Amino acid sequence: MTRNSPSDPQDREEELLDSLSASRESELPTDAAHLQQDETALGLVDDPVGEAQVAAASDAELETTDQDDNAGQGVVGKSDTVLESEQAPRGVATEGGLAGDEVAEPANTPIVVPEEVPAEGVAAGVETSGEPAKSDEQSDGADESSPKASAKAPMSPAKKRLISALRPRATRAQILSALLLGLLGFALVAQLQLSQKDELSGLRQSELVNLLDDVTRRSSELEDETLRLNGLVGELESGTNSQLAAQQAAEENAATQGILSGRLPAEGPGITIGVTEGEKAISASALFNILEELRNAGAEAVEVNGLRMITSSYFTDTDQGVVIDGVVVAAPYQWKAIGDANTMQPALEIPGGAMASIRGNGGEGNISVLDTVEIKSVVEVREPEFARPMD
Amino acid sequence: MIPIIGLVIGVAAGLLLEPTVPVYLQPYLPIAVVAALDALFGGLRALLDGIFDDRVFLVSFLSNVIVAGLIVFLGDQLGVGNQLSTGVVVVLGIRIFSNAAAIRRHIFKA
Repeated sequence: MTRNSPSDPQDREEELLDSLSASRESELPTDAAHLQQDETALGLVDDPVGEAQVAAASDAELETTDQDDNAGQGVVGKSDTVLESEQAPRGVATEGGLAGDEVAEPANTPIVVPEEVPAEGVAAGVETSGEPAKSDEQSDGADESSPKASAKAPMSPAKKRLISALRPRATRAQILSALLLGLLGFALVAQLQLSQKDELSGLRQSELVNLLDDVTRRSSELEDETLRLNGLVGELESGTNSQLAAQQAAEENAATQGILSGRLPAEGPGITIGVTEGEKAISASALFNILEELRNAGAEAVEVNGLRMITSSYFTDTDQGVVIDGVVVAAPYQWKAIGDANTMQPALEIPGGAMASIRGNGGEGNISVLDTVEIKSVVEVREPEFARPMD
Repeated sequence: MIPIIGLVIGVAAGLLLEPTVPVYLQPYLPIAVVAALDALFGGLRALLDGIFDDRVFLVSFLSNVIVAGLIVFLGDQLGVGNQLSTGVVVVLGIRIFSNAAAIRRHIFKA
């Protein structure tokens, strides 16, 4: 049933005015009356006039809101005027004839409820506040009673509707809205929790595939890097080991060479020889013989009167006496030698050997074997001037 | 008032129950929520315009959610999932803004 022609609404308006005056006489603005009218508006109670109005109104609403694509229920433009004309009777019916104040419309014949003087002329914007009967929700209707409405005359119809919507009424619309809003709140919270907990859940399949490719590639790169670094570590470690071994060998070598060359003080088992002079002075060659015998017997370190004997040591006869390595040394001569005593002592005592020649010259020589002989004197090693290592 | 209570109950239920969204629904839930928000704002605007009808609200709510979900699903199957989903969100955002502007004009006359 289409009700877009302007004649119909006006017919219905007159119809309603008649019914209104009839209903108004049976005392109005009690809640019971409002409720009753609410129910008639809802079609819950059999009411031929009411049913027609409701049917018309809901049809009109469906038409107009089906036409609109703008918002869920936003209606703009021309359809507003049609709606208004449809709603006017409805509004009047549910309001029980009170808030006809807002009803004055340019497109409609203003429905002025006789007992209420329209305090508000609602003009201008069809879209904005200029709405007819402030039946916001057709089932919610019946809010402020007439005295209230006229007392708050300056308030806009939109605000009135809003306030009326806030009042809790157990109507179908409110319960349905409550259900839908509950569902919305539930889904909203679920989605919030999901997106906070798990970042990946919101991605599409293609995005996830890309992400996976990226991660796989990066992972293989990192594995290669790990292999390379492990190899490097192994090399460095072995290098360090060989370096340590080389260093150790060098240190041992240095010790050995130091002892033999007289650079380092030495200690070990050996012998001491005390040589004293008799009437005849002991010659340098006699002393040198002792040194040679000791070397031939394998002495590793030799010291005379605090002078370390090395390969380049020499004995010289001078006017002041015997000069050993540039130092004038006088009798008695105290020798120390580190080596195998069992070899050195018999070597010195060979008949016709070093000791024999000293005794033959009137001197004396005493050899004592000791477990530990300390030779503390050292000489500074001189770089060879002529010789150099052969490659 | 009752719808607001319903909203609060829904949010509280979500916080308390901590539902786990099934995996096949996970990509569509955010779009569905935005579509439902759009229907909600449309309902608010209709309320302030004086043309609110609960049946229309219900139908628009459900149809928004279903149509948005269908579009995103179709986009995924066609291979333009990202773009279509972005487009849907943009359009819903535009509608929410225009409804919010109308509501603002009603309430603040500005």
